[in-house]
Amino acid sequence: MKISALFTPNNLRLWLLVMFVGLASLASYWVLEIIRSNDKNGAQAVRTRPDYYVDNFNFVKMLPNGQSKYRIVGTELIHYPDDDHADVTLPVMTNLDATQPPLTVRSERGVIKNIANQSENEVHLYEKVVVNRHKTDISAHLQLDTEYLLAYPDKNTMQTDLPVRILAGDTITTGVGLRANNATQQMQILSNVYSIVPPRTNQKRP
Amino acid sequence: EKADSQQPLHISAESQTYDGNKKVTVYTGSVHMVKGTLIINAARLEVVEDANGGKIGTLFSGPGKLVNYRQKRDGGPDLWAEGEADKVVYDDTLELIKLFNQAKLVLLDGKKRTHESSGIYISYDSRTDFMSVNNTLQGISAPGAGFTNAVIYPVEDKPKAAPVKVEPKVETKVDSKTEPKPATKPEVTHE
Repeated sequence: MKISALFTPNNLRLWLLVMFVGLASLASYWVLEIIRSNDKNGAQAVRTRPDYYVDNFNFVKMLPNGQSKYRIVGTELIHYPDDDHADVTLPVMTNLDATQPPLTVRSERGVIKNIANQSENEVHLYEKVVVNRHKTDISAHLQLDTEYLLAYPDKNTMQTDLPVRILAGDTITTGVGLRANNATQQMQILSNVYSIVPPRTNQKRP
Repeated sequence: EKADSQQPLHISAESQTYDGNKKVTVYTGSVHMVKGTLIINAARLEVVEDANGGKIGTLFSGPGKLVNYRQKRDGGPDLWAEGEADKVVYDDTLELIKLFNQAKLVLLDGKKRTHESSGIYISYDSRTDFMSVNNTLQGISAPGAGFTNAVIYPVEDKPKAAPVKVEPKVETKVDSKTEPKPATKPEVTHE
């Protein structure tokens, strides 16, 4: 069949139709390109929906030498890839570092920021935050209650600007604002401190 | 006084730092310490806890204001002790107060001073009401190390009870103008 046979008059109308459809598809592809180009940082780039859920999770942070540094346990973890943060319900954070007295922090809700980052995990704890350290031979029992606490488990520091109530040994202290460093065992209450030391009932009179 | 030992110790301050290793708590900023009738105001308070939990508080004076101290004493309805010093050490277990540098301690009966002593070191045991004033910071008097002085206020001899003079009963004419009548109906006399 000769090529010229293809261009017979009634085929011409057919070819016109093919060309028209070709043009139309090119045009639509061209429009799609425009949409995609100025929408570079649009829906496809920001993924606000979470990318993974974990129920009853146990997140353990290890030291390079394989020893575990701290653990965060909770009933639910929802991770959002956009700024690498995770919402956690009923988090319980325990530091497992053998050198320091074990410390447990729990609260109703938590947000862990930059999880992937190796050194700078940031843990925000909200509502009924309780910090607890049981009595050891070198340190007395400590319990701290507040409504919000920002913890840097890698640096082993905790801070808040809200009122705190601390039970250390037998002394109850209330104040507003706290900076605590569990590694150096230092704690600072920023303002209006009020503490009550109960009388020593079993006082051995010398 | 003795009853203070069973009272809780209340401390209020502007800020506080606690060092777990050294077991030192430092309260700074208008420290107000109350234990029963014992009241101490200072600029800074350092509480050190010894092994068996006994607490010793050292109170420091701030710029321009000495540490002041006030406590009720036993042995009388209204006996008080008031003192001020540059540094005060309060031992919670022994209940001993030690005043250092520009120390002054005044014993009062109500508002009236009965005894006043000042020196470089004064220690006062509120339980036994025993006070010692020494001329060295270590609390032992060394000869030639300076003077302490004390003022003992004379006790005014209480006015002897005035003898009751018996006035003869004088019948006076009742004159309603000058003398207010008792509640009975006044007798009206017309001039």
